[in-house]
Amino acid sequence: MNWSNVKLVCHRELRDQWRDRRTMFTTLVLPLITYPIMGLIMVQVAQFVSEHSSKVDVYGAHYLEGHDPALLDGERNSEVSFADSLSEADPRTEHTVKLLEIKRTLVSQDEWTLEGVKEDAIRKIEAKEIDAALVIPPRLGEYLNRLVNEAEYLGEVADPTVAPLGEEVISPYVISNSVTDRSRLAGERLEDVLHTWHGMLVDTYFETGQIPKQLADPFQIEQIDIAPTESKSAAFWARIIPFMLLMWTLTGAFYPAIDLCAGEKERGTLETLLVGAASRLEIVGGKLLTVMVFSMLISIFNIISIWLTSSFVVSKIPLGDDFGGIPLMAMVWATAIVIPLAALFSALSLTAATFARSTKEGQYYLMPLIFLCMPLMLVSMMPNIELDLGNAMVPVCGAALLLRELVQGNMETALRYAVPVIGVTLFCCYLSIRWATAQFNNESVLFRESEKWNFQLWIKHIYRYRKPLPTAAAAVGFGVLLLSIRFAVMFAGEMPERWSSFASKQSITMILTIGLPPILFAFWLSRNWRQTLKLNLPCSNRLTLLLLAALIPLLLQPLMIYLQMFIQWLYPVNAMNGAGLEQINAMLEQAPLWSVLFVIAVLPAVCEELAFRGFMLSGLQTDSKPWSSIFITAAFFGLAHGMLQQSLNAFLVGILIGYLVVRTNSLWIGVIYHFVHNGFTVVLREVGTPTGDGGVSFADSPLGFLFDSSGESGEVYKPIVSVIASLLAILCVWLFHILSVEKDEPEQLVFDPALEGRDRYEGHGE
Amino acid sequence: MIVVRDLTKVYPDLQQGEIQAVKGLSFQAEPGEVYGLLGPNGAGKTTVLRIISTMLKPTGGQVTVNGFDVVEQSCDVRRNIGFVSNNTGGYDRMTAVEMVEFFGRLYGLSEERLQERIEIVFDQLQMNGFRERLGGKMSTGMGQKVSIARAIIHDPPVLVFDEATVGLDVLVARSLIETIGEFQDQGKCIIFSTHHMREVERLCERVAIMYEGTMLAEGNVKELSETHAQDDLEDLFFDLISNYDRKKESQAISTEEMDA
Repeated sequence: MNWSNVKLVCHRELRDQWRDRRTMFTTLVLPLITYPIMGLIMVQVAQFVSEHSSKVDVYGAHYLEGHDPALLDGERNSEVSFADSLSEADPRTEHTVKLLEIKRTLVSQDEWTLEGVKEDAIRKIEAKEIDAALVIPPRLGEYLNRLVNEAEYLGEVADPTVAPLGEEVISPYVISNSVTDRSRLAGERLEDVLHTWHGMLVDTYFETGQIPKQLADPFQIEQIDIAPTESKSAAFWARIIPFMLLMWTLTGAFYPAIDLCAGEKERGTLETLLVGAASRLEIVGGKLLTVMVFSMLISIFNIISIWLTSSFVVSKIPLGDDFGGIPLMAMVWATAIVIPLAALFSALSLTAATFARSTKEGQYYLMPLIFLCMPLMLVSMMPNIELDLGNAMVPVCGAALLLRELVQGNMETALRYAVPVIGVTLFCCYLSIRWATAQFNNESVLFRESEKWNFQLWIKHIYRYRKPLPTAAAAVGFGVLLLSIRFAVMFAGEMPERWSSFASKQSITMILTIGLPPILFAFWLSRNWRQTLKLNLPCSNRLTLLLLAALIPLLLQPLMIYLQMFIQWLYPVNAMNGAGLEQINAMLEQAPLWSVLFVIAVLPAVCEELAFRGFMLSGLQTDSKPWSSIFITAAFFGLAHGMLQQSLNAFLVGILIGYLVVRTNSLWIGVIYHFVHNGFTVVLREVGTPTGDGGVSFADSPLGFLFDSSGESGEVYKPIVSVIASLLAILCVWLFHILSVEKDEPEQLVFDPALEGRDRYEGHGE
Repeated sequence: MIVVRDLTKVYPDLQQGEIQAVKGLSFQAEPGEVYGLLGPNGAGKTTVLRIISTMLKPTGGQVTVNGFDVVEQSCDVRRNIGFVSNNTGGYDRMTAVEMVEFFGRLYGLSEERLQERIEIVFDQLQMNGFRERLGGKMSTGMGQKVSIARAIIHDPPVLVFDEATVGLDVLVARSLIETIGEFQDQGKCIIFSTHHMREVERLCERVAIMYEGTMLAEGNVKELSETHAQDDLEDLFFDLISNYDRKKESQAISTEEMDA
């Protein structure tokens, strides 16, 4: 690759975008003005809501006339106001009282009833004449006097003229409409004032009765929060910033990518570029750098704008200690982490944009991309998800959590997982760039013309023009279909409690959803179903290779157990899956060996191998290099296992089986390996003694010398046994490699770059 | 020099399974020659020229440009070729000189050589009047001139014009034809595809008549007229196509009869 051409293409694209006023406006200007404007609007709204006075009505003010401490001041039949003593008791009430504008009081009337007053207040609130109303019931004054009397009685100065206090409680009413903000706020203000008065009344009663105030309120909880204010603010932003940054990086990459690929197709300039001296890889490199620059610029400008807004606008709003400006270090880390993320999203966007024929079509691809990435981005906002090695290995999710830790200032955790997060992100980035380049090399993508798509026609077409082996697209489509069916079945129905029901359900599901589809697809999508399903035996050294296929999984078993333990340490099994596994283990202990072997070993070995190493691998091999085909097949094989811990294990086993099958072009090798791999575990359980907690002890069995039961993690192979067995396994794989060389190399597996883009099926047809 | 041997190109198609756009085409164009590719829309001309310019890969056969294979040595081919078509658009937000400079640098010209070539090309194509004009503000004729300037900035020995006069007014089209004549005088090997007979008659010594991916006739324009007893190229063109259609129809009928 000529880097000067990459730089030239990038420079041209950047200049082109720079001169586009709309792009510059949305990239640089819009972020800088959007957040300050949003912040100012928030300040304005907050000020409007908090400073706007509320109109309230007070009904029955005269019932409290002469009561001490007073709630209201003013003579009967005249305008009243809240008593000055309230403001003196609590400075906050002084502010609240100023914001309460009492419109009028209802004068004393003989026909005054509580219900009538409530109806009148509701009518006025609904007609927006007032915001809220305070209703003093007729007997409230009298009730409060009785309370004073009670307090005096306790202090042995009782007034015998006042009736003793029963259990009756008479309360004032605050009427408001909680749906309307103005009315709700007015109601809350009235409550605040009444609360202050309530406190004053309690104080008066206690003083009158000469009772210590601590009796009513023995203590208050004093909380000591050791988090500094800046850290609390950082914790708040740590949840928000990763999500916003990831969203801006993705959308910031997508729109320039559409303009640079689909836009160029539309304007006819892509053809101009393709006939220039730059290679496709150089063009992709230049465009990728441009998209990356824009993605980073948009993200960084947005972050700077948010920082400025939070520092100078939002921090001025009294929203509590947890909501302050963004710490400066958070900004620095956000900027650093944006680089690998921009590279990843730019490559993904470029791939989607290359596929689109027009900018309009390109925009349709944004939504699926966002939907794919959104769940991974949202993890930073979830409270119970922490950055650990498992999460760090998940693309996008790891980056979001790493950024969260960095913003929070948890440097130790962040540095511990920075390498896996950046490593995974860069690896995904590499894959995305390879994909984007492959799209750019694909003439059917670059020169795609619109044609009317007809489902019936398409089905007929793929049947009529099928090749001896299925295509890679058919293989991937088959894989996706298989996974969809598998997941649908997995969540359908309850787990059976008896082994016989479990075995029959498992067998039928396995045959119908995994075993049958590859056979049907092989007939439908290929002309040679036997070759597609690789139903032939190895050509030479047949017996030795078959024996080795049985021996390798046996020797690898100790290593696989350690691997399984490592995976479970990395991603602990959750309670729900753990309970399910225990249930299955309990059933297995009761079941006869032959039926367990059939369900756990024979059926998966045949069905899964037909699907993955049969149809899928054959299809992928027609268009991809052998190792790519093996990895993709193993990934689908892993995903089909549903549970993360099993999936990772299956992925690694899938790679080895895939390799052995590709070497011999025989599915039987895969079937034998798979059968021994699954079956050996079942047989071991039979040899050992169940410990009752789902585990097995080999102490009393003839195989006891292989195991070590002194460890914390139960009975495992002795380390020396594991090392020797693994070395022997490597030797066997090497032997397999030697014995299967050349003669068994199938013709269609040889990848000839000279044939790329041409018909590779010449001479292979029936 | 361009050598095309047994070139085939197959596109996948939903209805027909696959479409054979080019069926075993062979021809050769020499330096100092304007080789005409004449054919109606859909004849496969653009596919052939896109393969020559390395945009598409052939399904079968071999194509070399100045001795370089279009599949194995595509970068070398692109350095030896200039491609102009009615599809190759210009950049709206770049001036004429910036556009030409960009492609010149991609071809690896030194700065000194690039400026020298820009002066020569802009003088030759009379482009100095709109050197600093943005692509989006140029007329169609100006745009086409920039397209040609971009294609010849590295002084390639081979030039490909794919229906380059489509959409141009008479004056601009005539000027383009004259420019192509000048390139021929400079000893360049030129392939000129069109469906206008007059342009072929005026420019090309040898011509290939294409129809449905097949070459119906090839040779000197005069010789072709004499061989097929047609004075006019247009009449010759119609005659060849009618004969091809009749032959195809009779073949289809005989196949049906054999099947029956």
